[in-house]
Amino acid sequence: MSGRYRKPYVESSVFIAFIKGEKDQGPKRDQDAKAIFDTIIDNAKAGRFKIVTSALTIAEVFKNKKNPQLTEQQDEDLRPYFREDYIQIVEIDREVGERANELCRTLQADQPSGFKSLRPNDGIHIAAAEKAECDVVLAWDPDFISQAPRLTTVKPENPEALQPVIPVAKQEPLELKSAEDIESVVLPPTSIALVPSMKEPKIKEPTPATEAVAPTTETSVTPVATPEAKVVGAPLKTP
Amino acid sequence: MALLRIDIEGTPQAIPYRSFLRVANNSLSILDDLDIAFSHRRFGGATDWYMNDLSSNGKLRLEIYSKTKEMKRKRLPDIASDITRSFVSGFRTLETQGRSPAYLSEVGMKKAESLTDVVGHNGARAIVAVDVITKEEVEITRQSAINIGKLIPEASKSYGSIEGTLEEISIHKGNHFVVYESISGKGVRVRLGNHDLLQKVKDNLGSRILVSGLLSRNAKNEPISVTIQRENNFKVFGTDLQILPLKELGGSDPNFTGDLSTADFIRSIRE
Repeated sequence: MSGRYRKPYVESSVFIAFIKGEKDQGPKRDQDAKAIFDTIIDNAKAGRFKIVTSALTIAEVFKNKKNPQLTEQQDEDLRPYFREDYIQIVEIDREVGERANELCRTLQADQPSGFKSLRPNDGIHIAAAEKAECDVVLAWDPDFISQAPRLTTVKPENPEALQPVIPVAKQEPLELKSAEDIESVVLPPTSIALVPSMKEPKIKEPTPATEAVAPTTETSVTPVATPEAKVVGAPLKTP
Repeated sequence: MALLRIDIEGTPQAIPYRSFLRVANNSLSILDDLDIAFSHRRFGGATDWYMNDLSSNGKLRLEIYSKTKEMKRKRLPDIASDITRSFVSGFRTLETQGRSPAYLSEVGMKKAESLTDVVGHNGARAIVAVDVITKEEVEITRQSAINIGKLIPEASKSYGSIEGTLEEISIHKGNHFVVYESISGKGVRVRLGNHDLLQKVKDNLGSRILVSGLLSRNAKNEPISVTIQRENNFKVFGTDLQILPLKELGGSDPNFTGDLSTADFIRSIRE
């Protein structure tokens, strides 16, 4: 299901579970956070979508220093990992802050329905996802996901594995020795596409500069067509 | 190759020659603005436009076709279809969503304002732009002019940053350059102020950068311009900002959250 996400917003818990390599995520505690996020990264790297997250995620994904066994190496700076060009960062600005405030005011604890209050940082993630016009917020946090029925725009849900990206074999350019070789090269049918317009071209013969352009009625001159083939496949090298 | 048709709908005899020229001139300026965004060539772009049709049949029609500029040493890519597609889709964004279109700089927006200002005056009811090859078209009404009027003025200022690709440096009227924002594709003008950054900016033309400073936004909260406050407000990804592959992090640290689960850790930092 590579088309599952159009523009996913990835919340901090997804990055943290990925770094930890947790295999017990999801409602049945049987989902492999690393394997699932790997497929999402692969799809983003293949250009199918961008992974959207916010500046808040960068702030939240840090090593828990309460761990006494922390070494210098483990305390490494993670910020450079958020700078790949398929990751889009949403700024936390006034608009996001005001929208998060509005969400928190609206989505307060509702005991009869069993809803907890929406936490301000959860609100910021939702507001940031709305700002970037994301279709989903991916999270491994059950508390956050429990808010989904009350949200009307973008909803948090557990990530799902996407179809693996099949690498495309690199096509070597065809070497041509002479112009005659061009006739002997057979390109696959999908390699050549006529520019759609060329089937019904409207290009007229260029008018000499000295000739005045008369305000005539529409399309009084017969168009002259020069169909051109657009080679989409391997470029042809000439000597 | 691309073919763009622009019709001025209305009563031809009532449309002033000046209005017609305004549509012609501004549409060419917008095409040039988009050309710079796609070709990454700050002087002159990569495309020339030629007349294909000029006629009147109940409406004034202007039809132009593209030719990629010929260079002695370099073969320029044919980006004309990207330009015409963005021209049409950009005006559709302005007309129907009231947002700034991608790839149009501040200069391009002002040209669009001037072009749409013709609509609703002196017999010009609407302008219809058609990408003849894809058959995509847009009717530009008075609504576009109203929407642009809201998008150009500055509505607020705050400290912030934008990330995008550095293009189009100008050393006239105060040094500035244009960054095409990575999320919206909108061209944002960056003013260098008095900082000696021009050489660094020139060296990084086409690079992905992060610029921070005083950020002006329009009424739709879209960034319009950034004024750099300090020299370190200009950072280049891959040079000033190290990039590491995210995939390497996967499973790299099972103890990342100490003895807390991911959900408990998130809860502990948010409550």
